[in-house]
Amino acid sequence: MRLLLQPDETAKRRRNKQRGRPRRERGATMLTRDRVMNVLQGIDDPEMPISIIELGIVDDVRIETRTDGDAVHVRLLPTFVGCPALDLLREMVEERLRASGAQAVHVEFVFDPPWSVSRISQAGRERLERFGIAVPQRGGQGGGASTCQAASRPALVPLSRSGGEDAGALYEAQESEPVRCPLCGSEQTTLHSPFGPTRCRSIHYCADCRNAFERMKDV
Amino acid sequence: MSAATPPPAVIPALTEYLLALADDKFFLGHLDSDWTGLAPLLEEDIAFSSLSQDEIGHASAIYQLIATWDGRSADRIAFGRAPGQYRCASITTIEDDFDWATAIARRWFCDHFDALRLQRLCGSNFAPLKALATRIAAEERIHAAHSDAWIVRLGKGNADSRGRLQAAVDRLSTPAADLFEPTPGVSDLEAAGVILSDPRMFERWKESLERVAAAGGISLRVSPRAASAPPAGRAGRHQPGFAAVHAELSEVFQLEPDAAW
Repeated sequence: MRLLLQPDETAKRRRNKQRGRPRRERGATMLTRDRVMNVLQGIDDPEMPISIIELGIVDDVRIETRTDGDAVHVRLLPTFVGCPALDLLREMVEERLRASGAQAVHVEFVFDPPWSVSRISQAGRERLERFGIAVPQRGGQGGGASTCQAASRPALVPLSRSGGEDAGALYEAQESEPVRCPLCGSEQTTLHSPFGPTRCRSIHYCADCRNAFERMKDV
Repeated sequence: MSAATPPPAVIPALTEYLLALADDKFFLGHLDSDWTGLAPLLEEDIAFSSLSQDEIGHASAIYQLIATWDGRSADRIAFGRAPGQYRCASITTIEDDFDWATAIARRWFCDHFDALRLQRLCGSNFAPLKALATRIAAEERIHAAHSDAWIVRLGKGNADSRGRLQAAVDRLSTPAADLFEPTPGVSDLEAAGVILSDPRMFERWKESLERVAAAGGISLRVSPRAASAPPAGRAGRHQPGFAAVHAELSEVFQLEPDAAW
């Protein structure tokens, strides 16, 4: 279960590293929007090796020039409402922006617009695929859409427990597109569980290379 | 651009409606978390832990929304109310005593109800609620698909799994109808466009459950809650089991209610 454990450990290491980073003198740099975006580009999601910009969770950045220094307001879109990494994410954004000269940093989590996988950039998709996480191509079946019709519910058909190589599989998912294995490229894959190591990922199995892999949930 | 707070006239009714939604999720999520480490399959251990995390996360986001106009903090709303001020329906406080069929059937009734309840909120003219409901509804689709798959799996399993599932569904079908107990002022919320009306909500709920029950080969008998039925969970009149669940989930908060976290 390498994939289950690795992201958290990576986040811990990264967090420790950031704690040791020396802080810049306050007010030493005049902050520009480009500079703030550059800083945010350098912050990875706590659970995946992808910049929070590439993941599409930065909704808006506003710089307020004050006499005692710049205040930066950042609006972030949680991928999942109950994502437990939000506090860590807030801490990371605050620390890095302060270290870059912000006098005050205000991080706000908002749900409007709702995040969906369609917000992940092409570069982000490639980075996740290299890490072993597939990303739905079209994406945004639920989160980005303005409707919430029960009709668009994914159909999960329970498999028989008897026989079959992947006898532990619960479902035969009727996905909106073929799910391609990020490790070997095969589309001979099955959904193993819609609940993976983080709220935004599901677990799949590739019949060709016989590896388990993860995929961003199609929301 | 809509206002950040709802029209003052509907605030009491909206607060009650949203407390019912959040309290249902808070209690269901808490009970489901009992399965962490104990579910019958590793995948379901992760699934139930994730479902709990989702439900408690949804509840937390709704408490935070209420807190924007309420004056109390989200934590105080979540943990600091007296038992009679909670609005959860009885099915969300019934413990499963580690019977897997009960845990699945409890989720199944609640997931199908939430899908319909959230549709009414996705059309809200109160923008922060519409956005949050839309995001939650996307996650709830996965929940309903998960419980449907298990209803069919247990129903089509063997005599033992089918019998246990049928018993759980029969036992929970009456408290499940209590999900429909109204909170005060719903018609005012509908008139104001803050929630959409859905006069056929019970029939739609029953039909969507019946489709899955038929696929799993189990029988389902649900009846609408009688208008004359005595006040229940939505009015703070809870089942005997409520007290123990409430005491457990608010235990740490009650040690030091003013502590900063």
